[in-house]
Amino acid sequence: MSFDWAAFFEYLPRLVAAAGVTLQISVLSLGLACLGAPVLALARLLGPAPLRALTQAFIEVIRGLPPLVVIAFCYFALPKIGVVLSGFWCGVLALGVVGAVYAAEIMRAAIESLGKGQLEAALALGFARWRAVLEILTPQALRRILPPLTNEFANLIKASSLLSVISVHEISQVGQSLIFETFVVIEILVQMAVLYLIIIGGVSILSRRMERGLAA
Amino acid sequence: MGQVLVRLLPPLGLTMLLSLTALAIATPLGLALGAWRAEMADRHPAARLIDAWVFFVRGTPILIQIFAVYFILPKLGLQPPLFVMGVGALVLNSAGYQIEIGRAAVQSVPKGQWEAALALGFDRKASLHTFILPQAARRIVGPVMNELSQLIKASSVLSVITLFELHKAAEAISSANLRFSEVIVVEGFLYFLFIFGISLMASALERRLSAAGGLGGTGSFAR
Amino acid sequence: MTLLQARGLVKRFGSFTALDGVDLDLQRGERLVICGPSGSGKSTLIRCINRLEQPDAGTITIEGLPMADLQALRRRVGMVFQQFNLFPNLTARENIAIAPRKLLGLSRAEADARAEALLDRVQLAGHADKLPSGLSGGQQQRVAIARALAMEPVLMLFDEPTSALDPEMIREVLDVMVELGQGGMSMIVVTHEMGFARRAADRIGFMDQGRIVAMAPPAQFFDAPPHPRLVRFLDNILGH
Repeated sequence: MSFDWAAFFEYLPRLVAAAGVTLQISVLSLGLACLGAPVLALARLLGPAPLRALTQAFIEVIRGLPPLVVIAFCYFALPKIGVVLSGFWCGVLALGVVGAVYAAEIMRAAIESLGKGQLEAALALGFARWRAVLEILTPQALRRILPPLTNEFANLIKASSLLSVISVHEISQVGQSLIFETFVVIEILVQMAVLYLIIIGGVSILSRRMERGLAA
Repeated sequence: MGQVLVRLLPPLGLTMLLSLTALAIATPLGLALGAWRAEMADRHPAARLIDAWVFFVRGTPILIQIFAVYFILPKLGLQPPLFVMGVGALVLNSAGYQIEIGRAAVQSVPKGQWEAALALGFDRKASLHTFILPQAARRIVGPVMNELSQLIKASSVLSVITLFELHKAAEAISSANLRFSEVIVVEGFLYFLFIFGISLMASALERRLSAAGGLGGTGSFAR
Repeated sequence: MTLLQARGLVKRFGSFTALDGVDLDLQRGERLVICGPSGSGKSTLIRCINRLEQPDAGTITIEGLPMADLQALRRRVGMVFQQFNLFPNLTARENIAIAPRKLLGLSRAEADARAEALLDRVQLAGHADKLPSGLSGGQQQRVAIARALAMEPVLMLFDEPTSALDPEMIREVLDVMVELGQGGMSMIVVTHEMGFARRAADRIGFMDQGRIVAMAPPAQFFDAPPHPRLVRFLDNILGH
């Protein structure tokens, strides 16, 4: 079984174009997640009891579902209440919501990992609880959230592959169609795997640079 | 809704069968390799292989890993049943993550334990088996239970290769009766019941064992 | 003038009663040391004063007022912790200046000036730009004292301030506390440091199982202990 380089290069452009779509979706959903996560995290830490409970319930439900179900919900169920989005934007919304939930949990864990002592010191000085969290704890927590957040971004990129089921032309969908059309398997699979490895590897390298920057 | 629920129960059974079978194979495999890897030099060929496996599994979506099993096996002349291919893909993925769990668990045992064992005269291998592994064992319970949750979520992706687990079945039912919202709610409820239930059990177990420094964190969504 | 008055304080944690009806009076300028075995309720008592713990029953008044406003209360009362709890991402100066700046409305210049004066007072002039990780335990605890003093409290609470320190550094922290007391600060100190108690306390209280069972000035406390449990405690603690 030899590697068919001709086939490899013939289909490469289409897959690279699909990688562009993968990146777009990932970045957009990351943006949505970064907006939503602090809202959720703060609602859960500082809000009135009913809001805290509601936020907690929302977080637990999303964490307790496979992402495919969330995607299916956005694509099939939302139209029933009049929200009709293209596959691409369904994907961004679904992944953005899932990402926000996991990022919010990361933020909560980071703040809790600071230990009671920091909060008590701030309270003992006379800071109100919400001010203590925002002005004393959060700056400390920010250093701790970068590695797990990068990991979540990598997860978002991987989850974008699931959008193939709603016909979004990202790497997995295009690759899968190509395999079915052409029966060229190994060459296309290798390209798909390598593209993901490059994108995700790139994210890891970027994040390590940022971590070094923060520590300086 | 009740009817939908009843029709989804057998596929739910398949989902659980897939997940539990994969867990049963991947856990001993992954943890053993991980513990072994913790004690290996980085340049050792076996270490390189293990690292490559983990790198591949963590750097690509599970869908790609499923495609790999689904499309490559026939090319090698094998045509196992769909169930086996599904389990195979899940094992490939889960073992990769559990290698990391095993490695981290062994490395998280304080160095002082090693020093105490070695100072008594045990060699490295005996120290590992007699003192380190039992302590590492406490630290894997939470992460492995979390792995089960992850496997249940990952099993939904097997719908792409037409395995009739819960998600595929829900998809089929809703395309037929067009009551998408209803079916999704029931499907979501069933997944949630099991996934959330497992994470509650995991927290309770971890609290009982209260190992220092919980590993595994809050789990994630994508594989 | 009575600065602090506590009556009938009760605090339970589940089935464990940490405070079993405690009464306490503190005069302005008075220095009170509280000692006792582990679990006797000493830390719980002072943590109730600044409401880091909520008592289940009983009252506390400061300067005659019940102090319902939590933040106002905590600005009048300073606390120094066993684990220092300095903010690790802020320099010594910033640790001291942050609360006056954000809570008392001082400008950055005013807050920094106050911080530097306090650093001088605790013998740490020149360390203003160091992070906690660059300071020894004794130095960190002195910064923590300065941080609490920056809010100009009427009462200072110390929760085993030297228990987490290397023996060599205990002296430098105790010296700061002695000087503080001599300057007229009202303080309640939970500690095992009996030398400090003898030297600097106006009264010493002994707690056992959630109650204050003995309270006396140092001379009487050590030379004629008024309670059998205290006799045993002193035997153990001073014996070695």
